[in-house]
Parts: sequence; structure tokens; C-alpha cells
Amino acid sequence: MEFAELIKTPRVDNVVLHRPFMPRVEGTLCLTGHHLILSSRQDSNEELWLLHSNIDSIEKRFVGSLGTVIVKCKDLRIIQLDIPGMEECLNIASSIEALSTLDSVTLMYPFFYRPMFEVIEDGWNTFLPEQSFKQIESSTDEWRLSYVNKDFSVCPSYPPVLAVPKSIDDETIRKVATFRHAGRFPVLSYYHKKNGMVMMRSGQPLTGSNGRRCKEDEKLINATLRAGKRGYIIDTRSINVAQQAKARGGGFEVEAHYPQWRRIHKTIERSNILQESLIKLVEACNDQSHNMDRWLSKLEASNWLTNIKEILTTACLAAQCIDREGASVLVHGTEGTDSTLQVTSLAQIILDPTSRTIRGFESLVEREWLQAGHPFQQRCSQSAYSNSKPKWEAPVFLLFLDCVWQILRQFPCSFQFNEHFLILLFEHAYASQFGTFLGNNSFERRKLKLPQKTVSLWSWVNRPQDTERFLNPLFEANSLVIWPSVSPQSLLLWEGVFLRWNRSSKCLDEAYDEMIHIIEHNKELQSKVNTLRRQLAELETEDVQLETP
Amino acid sequence: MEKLTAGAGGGGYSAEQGSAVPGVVRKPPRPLGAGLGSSRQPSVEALESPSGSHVEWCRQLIAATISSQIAGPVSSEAISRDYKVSKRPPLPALRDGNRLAQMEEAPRFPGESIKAIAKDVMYICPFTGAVSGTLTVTDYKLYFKSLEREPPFILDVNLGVISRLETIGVQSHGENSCGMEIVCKDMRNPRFAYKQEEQSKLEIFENLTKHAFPVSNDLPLFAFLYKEKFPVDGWKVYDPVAEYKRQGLPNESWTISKVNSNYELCDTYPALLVIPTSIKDEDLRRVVAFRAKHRIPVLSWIHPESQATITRCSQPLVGPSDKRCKEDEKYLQTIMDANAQSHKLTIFDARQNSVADTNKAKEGGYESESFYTNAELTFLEIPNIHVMRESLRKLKEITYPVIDEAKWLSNVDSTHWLEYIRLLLMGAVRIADKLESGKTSVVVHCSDGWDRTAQLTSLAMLMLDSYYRTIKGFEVLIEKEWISFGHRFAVRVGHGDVNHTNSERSPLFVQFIDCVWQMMRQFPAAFEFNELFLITILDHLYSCLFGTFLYNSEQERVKAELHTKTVSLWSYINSQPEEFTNPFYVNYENHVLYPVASLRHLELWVDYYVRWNPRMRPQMPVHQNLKELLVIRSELQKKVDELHREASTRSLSSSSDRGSSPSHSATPVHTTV
Repeated sequence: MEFAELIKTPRVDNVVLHRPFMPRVEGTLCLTGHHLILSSRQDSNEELWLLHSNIDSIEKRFVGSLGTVIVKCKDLRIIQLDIPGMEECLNIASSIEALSTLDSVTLMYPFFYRPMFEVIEDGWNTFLPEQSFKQIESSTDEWRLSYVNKDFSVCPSYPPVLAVPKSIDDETIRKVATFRHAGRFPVLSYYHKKNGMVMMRSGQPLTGSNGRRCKEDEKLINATLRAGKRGYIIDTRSINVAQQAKARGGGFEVEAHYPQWRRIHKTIERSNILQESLIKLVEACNDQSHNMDRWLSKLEASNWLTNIKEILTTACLAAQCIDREGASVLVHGTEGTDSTLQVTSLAQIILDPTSRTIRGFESLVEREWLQAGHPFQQRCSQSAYSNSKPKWEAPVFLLFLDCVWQILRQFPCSFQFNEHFLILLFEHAYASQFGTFLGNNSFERRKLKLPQKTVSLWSWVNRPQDTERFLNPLFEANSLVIWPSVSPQSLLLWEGVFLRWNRSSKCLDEAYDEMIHIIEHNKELQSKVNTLRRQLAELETEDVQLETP
Repeated sequence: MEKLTAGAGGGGYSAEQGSAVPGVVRKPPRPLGAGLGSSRQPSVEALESPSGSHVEWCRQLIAATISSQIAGPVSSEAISRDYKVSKRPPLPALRDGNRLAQMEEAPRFPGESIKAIAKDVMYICPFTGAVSGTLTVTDYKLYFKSLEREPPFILDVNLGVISRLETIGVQSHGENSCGMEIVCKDMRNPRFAYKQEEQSKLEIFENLTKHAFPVSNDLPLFAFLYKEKFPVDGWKVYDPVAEYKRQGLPNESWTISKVNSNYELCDTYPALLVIPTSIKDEDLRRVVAFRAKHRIPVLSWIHPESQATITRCSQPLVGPSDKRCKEDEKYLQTIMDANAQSHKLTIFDARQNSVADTNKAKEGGYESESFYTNAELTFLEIPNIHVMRESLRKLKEITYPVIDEAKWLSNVDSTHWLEYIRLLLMGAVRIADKLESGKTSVVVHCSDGWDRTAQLTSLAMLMLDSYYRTIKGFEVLIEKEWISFGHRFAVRVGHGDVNHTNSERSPLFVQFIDCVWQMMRQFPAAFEFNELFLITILDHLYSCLFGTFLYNSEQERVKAELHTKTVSLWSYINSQPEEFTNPFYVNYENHVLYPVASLRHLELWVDYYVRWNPRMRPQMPVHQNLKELLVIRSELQKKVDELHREASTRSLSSSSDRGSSPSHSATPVHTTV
């Protein structure tokens, strides 16, 4: 298919662009296959390049022959284009609509994007499962890598390489896979070096209404327990939801068959409810009505912060079981691709200082989200402005990032990265020139040949000159387990995302710059002190040498 | 970045961090010469220590969280919400003092004396449960200490903060069958239980009742007994002539008048007033008679470029019959004429239009646009003091002691507290913008011109003039717009007065400080002072430790010889400005700040209102961290200079004294910074 077919009017002059906190710009609007471009042709800075895939929805209005297209983006920004001429306006609008809702993944921009920078370290190879397993191998020999899924036949949403208990052979695993939702058998998610406890994740067991059991499943998860120790199964669904799942072939681990495990039910909402929550939240944030009555009530009614609280609480619980109870944990919900991953990844932020570094966090996103099979393509195809009824869309990953932000806010010096890094991941999960977040799982990514055909986000972020922007100047390594507070007065709305286009951040940025300035200055002084000390020491040695005959 | 360590021992914790700590009194003024902060500053030598101060902070924070919220099915249901984590002896004296002091004695300020001590009193902590200990009542505070916990549990509440004492029934506390609830003005209500009919208990509560309300018991306020000496005299902070001079006054249109030097013209105004030069004395008398409480329009602030002014006054006494006063009309015309840039004058009436109409029936009213030509009248629709009092009362209800987690936000909403903050900020923005963009002079009044008027003029001045955003400037602003112009602090706060139901009480000043905090949040680099500065001001608004917020007017203060008999809060603050300095400060000189007055961008000031709640996550304050960095910066700078000097002398000496015996290396380089 040629993009040209979809572009009815490639160019319109005298278009006026309105953006939040920027002066209006008049210029020429151009549509290309992947971008909406507005150029004033006077000053190269005054340009807008907007990925079509970032467009969530558009609205058009007419006053006489002057048309207005309001473009609502997935990063929650809203821009307005005044386009002279009704026909041009209609053409532009329908072209944008078509280009922003392309079905085929291979038509997406990452397949066309050629980096303007030299790829020094290919991000597609930076976080291979074998590498992260090496870390675990150095502290324990109870686990091994299994290639049972190398052709994705055992579990299509799992990567080809997975860590499983050493004592369990591939044949057993195959059987366990038939007993777990979508073949998602329990795999190692995190190894807590401090006490050797582990966190695993999986899909729900397929007990069904007649209480099917699977000896191999029991054997597998029991293999992770120390002698005489109990473990915890954290089910991210309420007991009622879990009960209902039985009727559809799903279910949960009953005590009788898993006597060494204690099951705890928590309630993390499912994707469609989360999507509604996001829509309500963004509506409240964008409400322009003047009296803005009952803002806090609206914020509360969106339930966004309640969802944050539930997720964080469950993650804290998992971390608590591991670190304080000295027990191993298995986490699952229904599929094990959404709330499960929120819990396992946040528990690692709490427990593992490495995951609070830039590399460590990238690795976490790679392992616990991308390789673990969170369906990014489905979840992030629409954001809060979409008019179409959501199918699989849900801000599961955004909620995870928001939770990380809450912890970052509470421990502002314990993270190597800053808020901008989290915002970057949010933006790229929804629309990007990079291939990292395309596809729903490793299998799809391999079929699409993403590593060969697209550039990884990590290839760009990890270039030293680009990383700098995301470094937290206050970072000091903190090896502690960090327990966030989840009481409502401690949780805040993430203004950097949700009010980003509603208020100018100029003054906040200036304070941030001042902070960097202080720190930079201290570094300079520090090196001066070091140099002088060295010089002095040299002088002293000289003296001593002169003294000794 | 280098690692930091917060100095020696357990003292390495700042008052700032302590701000959210329940039960710990905000750090009271240290005795003079107690080594100001020396123990808490990170020293260069300590820099290489393996864990930064923030890690230590995190450790404390985490312990607090673990004890307060981590629960769930894993651990038992018994969750002790403990503050012991952040609990530490508030005074160095306690830490280092003798055993006896360790045991019971309350630390005292110079001039403070113990009135009664009772053992075996039970403090019913709403968060951690009951704890038994010794209760001491002095003429300044009540001090409860329990050795049942480790470290000892201390509750230190100054008496000034007490609004009322109430006997309550307590069950399930064994033989401690009598109870007392201490309702405080600062958002908490500690409760005690004790055995009935025991002499020492009766005595202590008698003393409490007496000294908590000294005014009602013909006793002096503690500020008159307080004998602390500070190196800086805070009473010298505000000199009206100097402040007007800074503004470029007097000038040809405005004069600094002594017409009120004996407070005869208006007893609630200061002695010095800035009024139009051309006004004749007999005309002025007529204006005086036409304004409520004789509060005539006087200048608060003049724009350095446009000469547009903020003038403040009370409502005109128009009454039901639409009385006019030609002199008053002329007076406002003169104010307008003093500013050549505009041919308009804007009158901001802070009240709700409907209320202003009601006032008309009671001899009050507002300027009619048809009599005051060229004037436009705008109502800012801000509710009165009773509404504000009620709003804060509701806020306390939902924050202390228990927070309903599920309804937290909608409960905050239902208090309308933030809505009123928004109204105030918006009103002040309109005033500031009228001057700055419209180059138009404004007149601000409400009914009496000492509540909402003070809030609005001071906020607008804070937006317009960067001087007021410095520590000194802010002190001047409070002294001028609030204290000297007769905001009735004694009545609004009810200092030492037992009559808690007095409907004249209202937290207007708290509201103003909250607005300042909101601005600080939006412009983190524009203010020289920090959050601790604001909280300290609010704490001493109630404490009666300093004379600053006592009495209702300048006249009363002069009569009470306040400046010689009490200490100013600014003496305390200005003796240790580094405690109250914002490390981000970059001075937005010549910048007018327009805060976004939208509810979305306002936040409940939890660090103040919810600070007694142990589940309140005290933030690891970034600015605290930065303050340490600034200290390190200056230490490093010193080191650099020192080493420079040393290197140059050494290179001199080593070139000249070559061969001679250089003594044992004079300055061993033993630490790597």
C-alpha cells in the first residue's frame, strides 16, 4: 500500500497552530506517511513534527470556511490547527484519521526510521535473558535456563529462554504448561540475594469447576521451597473473581493440593476498568469549566489513585513476604500478563537497588514487561481520548510507571534516573520511532524481525550524551529495601504526565537547573581539592627526598 | 556526587525533617551559644563515609512505614503505628544532660518555670495506643514523657496552642477513669487519662487550666516572662520610614503623614500613614468619618515604574440611604490622579456582592460607580471569617486523628479549604495584574479592612515585589500589612483567652501563609525562605513565646511596651537564617509572579495540616539535601583556599629551604575529600 493513497491533501498553506504554552505559529502544514509537520519556514525552531501514531483522536469544527482540527495525542497533549478552506480541512482530517489508525504493524514508522546517530551498542542485544541469568547463577545453582519454549510452542507469549528450577525437567514443564493459562507456567522473576528467596510468576491454574489438579505443577512450585518453609501465592484477583474464573476453566491453587503455600487475594482492577479510570482522570484534568468545582472529588471518582494504591500495596506485600518473612512467592492473576507484571516489577523496585539504576530499570522493563509478554501493541494502541470503544486498551504500563514515580518521589535520592525517564517510556510505549514497544510478545517480535528492521529505544537512550538528560543529580546508591508509603495523603497526582499540558513547568525547571548547578559546582570544587592535595603530596615527597641523604 | 553524612551521632537530623514528626515540638530556640547547628552539618572529613545522610533518612522512613502500614495477612493484625523512628530528644540538653534530666525533667526556656508535675498519667495516643508517663506543666508548655518506650516517648505542646480543655469520659483504661482532651489550634487534640481524686492530678489540671489561658486568669502571657537573648534584635526589622523610602516615598504625590501619631485619627492604624500630599486636614477628617472604624484609604505599595498604587481602607459608610461624601470621592480621585498612566481607579471589594448589599442596610456599603466617576468596582466574592473558621474546623475533622482513606480527596474537597485558597490567590492575582499590566491604581477593602484586605494586599505585594520574597522582606510584609495595620491577632487567635467559642476567632493568617506556600510550590526558586520558615511562623502565631503576634493594634502594643518587654520572633529566625533559607533561591528580581489559581494546581499543605499523623510520609526533602550540599560547597571552597595557600607557601619554602630540614610534615594530608 502506498501512503500517498491515504494522503488526500499533502500540503496546506496558512495554517495556524495553537499549542499549550507556546505562541501560535502560522505556517505550512504537510502530511507525510508518518508525520504531521507544520513549518513556519522562517525559523527552523518553529516546527511541529507529530507522529501519526501519537494521535489518539481528532475533532473538526467549522466557522464559515475556516476549519479547525483539534488533534488529541496519546501523550495527552491537545493541539489545534486552524485550516483555511473547508475541503482542505476535511481532507486533512480524514487523512490524519486514516494514517493514525493503520492496521498493519509493518507500516509503522519504526520500520522506516533510520537513526541519525551511530548505534554503538545495539539495544536489541543489551538485555538478553542469558545475560540477566548470569547474575542469578553467580549466587545460586538451584535454577537453570530452559529452552523448552525455543520455538514458542509451549507458550507463545513467553520468550524462548526461561529460568526454571534445576530439578524440574523440560518434560515436566510441558505438562505444567498445559495446566496454566495460555501455557504460562511458573518461571523465575526475581532472586533475592539477601536471603535466597524467589519471586515467580505465571498464569492462573486451569483447575476448572471440577477442581482439576496437576502433580507436575505442584512439584514445580514446591521445588522452589526450602525444606520446612512455606511460600505465598499472591493472586491479584479478589477471591470472588477467582471463584468465578473456575467456571471458565481457570481457578486458583486450593490449599489441599498446595499445603505448603498460603494464598493471598488482592484486588487489582482489570484492564477495561483501568482504561475507564484513565479516561475519567484525563477528563477531570482537562476540564476547562471555570469554577472547576469539586476537582478533588472528580480526581477521587476517577479511582486512579486508588488503583495506584492497590497496585503498590500488593507489590509491597510481595516484597514483604520475600524480605521480611523470608518466604518465596508466586504471583499470578488470570493471564499473568498485566497486574502480575505490575506486582513483580514494582516488588523488584522496592527490593533490588539495581532496578533503581537506569540500566537496571531498562533491564527490568525488558524482562518483566517486554519478554514477559505484556501485550503492548494491544494495551497501548489507544490512550485516553479515543472515541472507539476500548477492546484491549489499558494503561497497565502507565500505572506501573506512575507507581514508580510515587516511589521516586518518596525516595528522591535513591533512583539513578529522574522523572523525565519515566515520561519518556510512557511516550514511547504509545508512539515511537523505535521498535522496542511494537508487538505483543517475543514471538511476534521475532516474526516481525524487529531486531533486524527497527532500532531499539535502548540503543538511543544508552548513548552517554543522551542518558545524561535522564540522570537524577541527587542519586546516591542506596542498598536498602525501600518501603513506600501508600496512605492516601502520601500519594499524589503525577503532574508531570497528567497536568503537563495544563501548566508551564518553566519555574519548576529553573529550580531543577539550580539544583544541578549546585551539584556541578561542588564537583568542580571537589576536583580542585583533589588536585591541590595531590600537588601538596608531591611537594611533600620532594621535601622528604631532599631530606634523605 | 560525593556522599554526605549528617554529622555526628543521632543529632544529625534537621528540624525540617522533624516537621512532620508527631509529638516532637518544632525545634524551639536554642540557648545562645549552643553551637548553632554545628553538630548537624556534614563535615568535609565525613564525606567518605559509605552511606549518605539520605540513606540514613531512608532507613528511618522505611522503619516508620514498616511499623505503620506494612501489614496484611502476613504479619499479625497487631500493627503498632509507632513514631519512635522519628522520635528523638528534641533538645541537646536532654541528650547530654544528667540522669535526672533523662528521667523526667522537662527542658525549659530561660524564664520558664515548672508549675506542677504528675506521675502515672496516661497519654492516649490515637496512633500508637496508650502510654503512661510523667506530665509536667510549666507556664509555657505541657510536657509528657514516657520511659515505657525506647527511645522515650515525648509529647511537648505549648500552652498557647490550646483552644480549650475538655473533660472526657474514658473507659477501658483501667483505673485511669478521668480523661482530658486538649483541643489545639494547630490541628490536633491530645488526650490524657488519669486516676480520679488524686491530689497531684487535680493540681496539674488546675495549673493547666490556669496557665493555658493566662489572659482570662489575670496572668501575663509567657512572652513577657521569656528571657532568651538573641544576637539579633528582630524588633528592628521593620522601620516604616525605611520601608516607604525603599518604595521611593515620599514623592510629590504621596507624603508620610504623622496625622495619626497619637492614634487619635484611627486607633487601629499605625502612627505613620502614607496619604496623598494634597489632601487638606479638614477634608481628611470628613473621609475619616465616612469610613468604617475610621480606616481611611492609605497607601500600601507603589509601583516603581508606573506609580500605580495599592491603597487599603475599610468600607464606606454609605448606609441604606446611599449617603455620599464629596471629600471621600475627591480623595479617591486624588489617588487616581497620582498615577498619570491611567485614568481609571479600580476598587476591589473582597466581599461577596450580596453581603456588601446587606452591609448597606447596616450603615456600611460600597462605593457607587455613579458617584465615584472613573472608578470601577469589582467584588472578589470571598466569604467572611466565620466561613473560613468553619472550613478549617472541617479540615481538622477529616485529618485528625483518623483519615478515611477511601474518601480522603472528596473529604478535602468538602471542606472547601482549597476553594477559598483559590479565591484569595485569584483575587490577589487580579489586583497585581491591574497594577502591572493595567498600570492602574487599586483600592482594596472588605468591611473593616483588617482581614481579607490584609490577605489580598500582602499577597498582591508578594507577587509584585521580589523584596517581599526574601526572609527580611517577608518579615517586613507581615509587620507592615498585618501587624501594623491592625489585623486583630489577639482576637482572631484568641491568645490566652478561655472563651473558645468567641465567633471573632478565625484562621485568616493561616490562610495567608497557606497561599504563600502554594506560591512557593509553583515558584520553587523565587523565595529566599523555605517551608520551615512558614511553619515556624504559624507555630509561633499561637505559642505566645514571642511578642510578634500579640495584641490587636500598634497602639495596644506601644501601650504594653511590647518591644522592650518581649522578644520578637524575627530575633529567633534572623539569628539562624540558614535554617530557613531555600537552597533553590535564585531571586526573580523584577519578576511579577502570577500563580496559577486553579484548583488543579493547588494542593493541600499536608506537611502542615497532617503533620501529626504518623502515616504522613515525611518527604526526604530535596532542599535539605541541597542545603547540605551548600554547606559542603562552602567547606570545599575553604579547603581549596587553604590548600592553595599551603601549596604556595610550601612551594616557596621548598624552593628556598631546600636542604634544610622541613619539620615533620606540618599538615598531614590524611583525608581524601
